[in-house]
Amino acid sequence: MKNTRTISMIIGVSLAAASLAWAESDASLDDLIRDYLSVRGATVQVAPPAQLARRYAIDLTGVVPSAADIDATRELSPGEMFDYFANKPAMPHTGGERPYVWVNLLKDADHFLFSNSSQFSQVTHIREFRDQLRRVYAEGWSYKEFARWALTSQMFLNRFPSAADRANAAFFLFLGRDSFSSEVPVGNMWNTYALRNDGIPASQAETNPDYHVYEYAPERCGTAGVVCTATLWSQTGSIPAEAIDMVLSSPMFAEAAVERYWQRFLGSRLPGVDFPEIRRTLAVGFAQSGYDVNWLIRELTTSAAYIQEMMFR
Amino acid sequence: MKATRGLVYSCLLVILTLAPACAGLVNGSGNGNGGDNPNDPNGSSDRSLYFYYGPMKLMYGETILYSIAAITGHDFGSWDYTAPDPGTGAFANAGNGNGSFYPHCRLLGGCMEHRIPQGRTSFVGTAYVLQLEKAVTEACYDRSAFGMFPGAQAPGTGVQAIDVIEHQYRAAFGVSPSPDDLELSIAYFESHLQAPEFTDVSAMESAGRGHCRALLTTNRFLFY
Repeated sequence: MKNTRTISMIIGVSLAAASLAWAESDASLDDLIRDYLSVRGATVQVAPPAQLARRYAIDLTGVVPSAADIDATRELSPGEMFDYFANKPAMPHTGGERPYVWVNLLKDADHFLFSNSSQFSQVTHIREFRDQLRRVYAEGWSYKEFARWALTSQMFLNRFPSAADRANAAFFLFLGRDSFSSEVPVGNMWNTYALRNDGIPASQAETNPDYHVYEYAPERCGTAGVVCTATLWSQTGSIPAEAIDMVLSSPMFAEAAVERYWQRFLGSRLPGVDFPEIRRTLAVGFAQSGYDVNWLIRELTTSAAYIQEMMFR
Repeated sequence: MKATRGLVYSCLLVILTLAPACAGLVNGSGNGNGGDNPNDPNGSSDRSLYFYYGPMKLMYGETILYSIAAITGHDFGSWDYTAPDPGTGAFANAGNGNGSFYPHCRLLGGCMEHRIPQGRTSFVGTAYVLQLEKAVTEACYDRSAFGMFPGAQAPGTGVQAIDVIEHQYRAAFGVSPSPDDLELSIAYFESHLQAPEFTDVSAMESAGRGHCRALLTTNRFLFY
């Protein structure tokens, strides 16, 4: 494990069972947030209507609300206010299209996917990506369908010609790994993955039978119990469906999406190991919605966390 | 806590030449917080709790420009997200936009297409402040744009400073000015009316344009 060139990935399949437990409970996102605050003597203080309207308008349309919008939404509940602004056209240069939201939400992925490369045209591929986002939105694709498209697109294959790069990119884009370079010690990655799941220490995660271990480690191919991603993430032709399914069926797929969207709308990282219930509850809901991005955006932006008054009190 | 609140409101009124310091406050690490960091889950006060405050985010570059345009009536041009690929040369060198939208947006955190490869700016740095100042000046000092005045027209003789102030606060922040805000703004107008910056327009218009410039370069406008 000291070989820094070895790329190891773990996917916590144990989370599937844990997530189901949350799905079967009655705890909602707001319940969790309100309970968390109340046991600490705090309460949800809903932002003044004008402040909340500004938040919704900028997040959903990309432009500050007009005075008329402020007046029209003064008496509305957060949910009604969301509906009011969600039904207004987005900013002018998007042609009023909502894919603007998608583009911004995927900006982290963009950064990786569209990083400078001699093999990659910023002009052609950004527009290809944009056009695809417009189709995704117009045709109501789910986030999972979008992810499958991204991983099977020629754009992705061209951008990441090697098996290791493809595996890395896929994990980064859709399983939420923070960052990786071949210089990062493998142990750190194990830690990252373990922490992002159940807070299980790296040493335990490595041997935990509930965790499925995927390896991109050519020297370990053939080892019993190890799925060698060098085989899965082929370097020629398209990526095998089995490899893509490995990503899309991971519980971390929904969690990573939830985390990314949380950061976009809540402006902060999703509480991590000290408050995993939030992430799990949202991830389960997102999966149950059919990976519907609109559901997730509404859930986040009508939550007790989002409607709180901002620091400028 | 009082000192912190005072600093917050000071930051709201200070133009963005001081924005980095205020941004530090926004992040909970600036002067005045004294270790009472709301982003620190191990902190000792209720301010350190998750969810105690609602989100506070910096507007994206295109959001800033379109919002300024909506408020002032100035036309920055545009960056047509939906346009067909205009070709490598146009895109790489000048963008497919027109007017000053593209150069402004490039330094205000990056437009949604250009600069995606480099990511977006997420802090208020020197270049950011200077570019924002430039964009806001262009919009507020556009003699053909009157969105920042009541009725979207040049202020006539019947228009009082308080009307302009009320209009601009509601347009920029969605609320009327607080008593403190109003007092400071009226003082600004009184001072400016005595010695207008522009003499080719009415003194009220000159003062209103300067006031517009101040409001749109505050953290209160940038962060939401």
